[in-house]
Amino acid sequence: MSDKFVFVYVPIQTVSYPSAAYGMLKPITERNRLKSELCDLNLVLNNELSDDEFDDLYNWSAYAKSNISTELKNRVIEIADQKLVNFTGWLAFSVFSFYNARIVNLLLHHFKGKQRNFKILLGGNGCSSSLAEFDNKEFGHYCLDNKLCDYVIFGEGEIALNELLQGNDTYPGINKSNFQQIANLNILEFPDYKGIDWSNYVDPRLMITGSRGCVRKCTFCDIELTWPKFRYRSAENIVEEMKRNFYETGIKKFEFTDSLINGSTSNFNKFNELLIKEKAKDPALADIVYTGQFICRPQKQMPERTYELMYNAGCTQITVGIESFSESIRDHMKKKFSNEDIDYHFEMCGRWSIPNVLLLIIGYPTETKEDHQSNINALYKYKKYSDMGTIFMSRWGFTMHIYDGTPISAMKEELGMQDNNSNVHGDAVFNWISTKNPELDLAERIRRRVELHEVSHKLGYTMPNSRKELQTLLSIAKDYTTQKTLVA
Amino acid sequence: MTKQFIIEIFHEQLSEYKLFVNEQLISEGLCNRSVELSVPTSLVSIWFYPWKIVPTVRINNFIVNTGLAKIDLYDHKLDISLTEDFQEKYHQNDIESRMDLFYQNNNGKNDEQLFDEIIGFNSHDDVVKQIKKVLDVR
Repeated sequence: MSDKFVFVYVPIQTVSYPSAAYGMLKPITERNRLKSELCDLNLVLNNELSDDEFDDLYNWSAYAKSNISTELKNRVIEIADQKLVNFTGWLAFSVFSFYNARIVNLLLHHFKGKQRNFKILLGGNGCSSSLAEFDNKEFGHYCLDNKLCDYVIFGEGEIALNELLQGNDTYPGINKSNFQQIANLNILEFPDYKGIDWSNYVDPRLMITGSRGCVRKCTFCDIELTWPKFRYRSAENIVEEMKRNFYETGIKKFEFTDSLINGSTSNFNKFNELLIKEKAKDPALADIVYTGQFICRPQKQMPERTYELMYNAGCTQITVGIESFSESIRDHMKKKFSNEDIDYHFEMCGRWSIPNVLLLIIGYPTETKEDHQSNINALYKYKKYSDMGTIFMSRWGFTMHIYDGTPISAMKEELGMQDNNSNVHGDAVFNWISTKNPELDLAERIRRRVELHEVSHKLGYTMPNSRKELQTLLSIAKDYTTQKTLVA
Repeated sequence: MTKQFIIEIFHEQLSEYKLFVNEQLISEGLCNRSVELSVPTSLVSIWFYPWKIVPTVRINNFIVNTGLAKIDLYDHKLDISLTEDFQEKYHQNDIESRMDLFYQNNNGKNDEQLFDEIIGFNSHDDVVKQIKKVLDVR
């Protein structure tokens, strides 16, 4: 029996569909004669833990809770043990973001010192996150230094994994942060999603990567650390992958993993044109649809023709980081679009039936009461877009929290940032204050967040996961007030 | 004042139309792929030629889902009731449709957790009140 390569997904990620790592790396493991398996521990834990237990795990993973009970940790380990019995080969944890680090750390400590026939490998963006509770080291290095795993792949995995499986553990990015960004994404093999039991997922879709990196350098985002340069695949290559994977799996829904699908507007237009042509050639492809993240751009960069092409090609949803309806806040963030651009974008999305998921940040360090009022005013102004489904949902999040490595974390002096020595939730610094904008303390940020929830609900905006987010905010608020009481 | 609606229908083959408002013929004519019509709150019928095409409908600059807009589509015409609260009703139908799609678990019962995770149309007053109490926000 051949050795196995088991991909492990851990909370917190969506449970509606599996993430990309398995499909993207399976061609490489199989080329190296390893039998690929997916262990979606994220889904298993979601199914087997109670709602309260999973909420606790969620908040702890999101650094919104300082710890969870020993009983819950043991339960997580017990469930993982049932799924990850000893085998020969490789156990690969997908550390998609730092949100996965605490659980991976928990499981790795459990495996440490135990007899095992598999090598442990970590990969994913979360390996490069520097986290205070992991000795301020990049999470991957912390795990290596503490002998919690055998290998870590920093940066992109496709080439490095192939090298590692062929015995070359000195390739850039293997156990060192010296990874090299893949210059030509067209050389990569198409993902292979065979072997996934799609009936486990409520909203199956195939993940696809059209580009890596971003054309913006927003102050709150650390994507540049992983992909310093914006790279994209040719439109032809992307459409070929869609066709191949549709024919193999029958799944018609594709989700782009890109930070933005319209990073290159010319390539994006070409992609849509090609997909329309392919659909015309083969009616079986007609129902293919796609979703992805998108940036709002000025009208001259996004003429109506682009939105029309998206509609005709089957774009059924875009996720857009509006972040704030205040122009001055967005200017500080370096978002590079105006209120007029937002008006135009929504108008075009309404005209061409493209639903938007809005991502928003409340309590950016420079946010004043007037900026907050701009958010409220925008909810009234854009209500018709919510009613008509153009604003399909809005995500207000947990309020602004700051992580090391993001550009804004380097602006401490400029913004007079202090974390009040109250970093009660570990690495996500929720309880910061800017001496340049002192009225915006954590309590005020949560108050604004709650107010926007109430106004949004009153006006009919849908806000998925809002109960979980509000419960997390409640947990943060309790810690905050307890701490204030203790200080007093 | 009666609300006005702009209805646009379009299709590659669309070449003729007739507009009926509350069963009265208001206008008719030739068109090339699309036609834009201004109508008041009313029961609207738009006849189109050639038959058996499925035109896309845009109302007040929004392409609408014919199901959510409660448009009755026939081989030769479409009927739609345009009311003052058209937009609100469309939204209500949208939420109900999302619920039908995701809201039920394997037993056919409503799944509150799934509803919140995927749709999210709740006030969550209980949690909001707790947060306000903790922060002492009036």
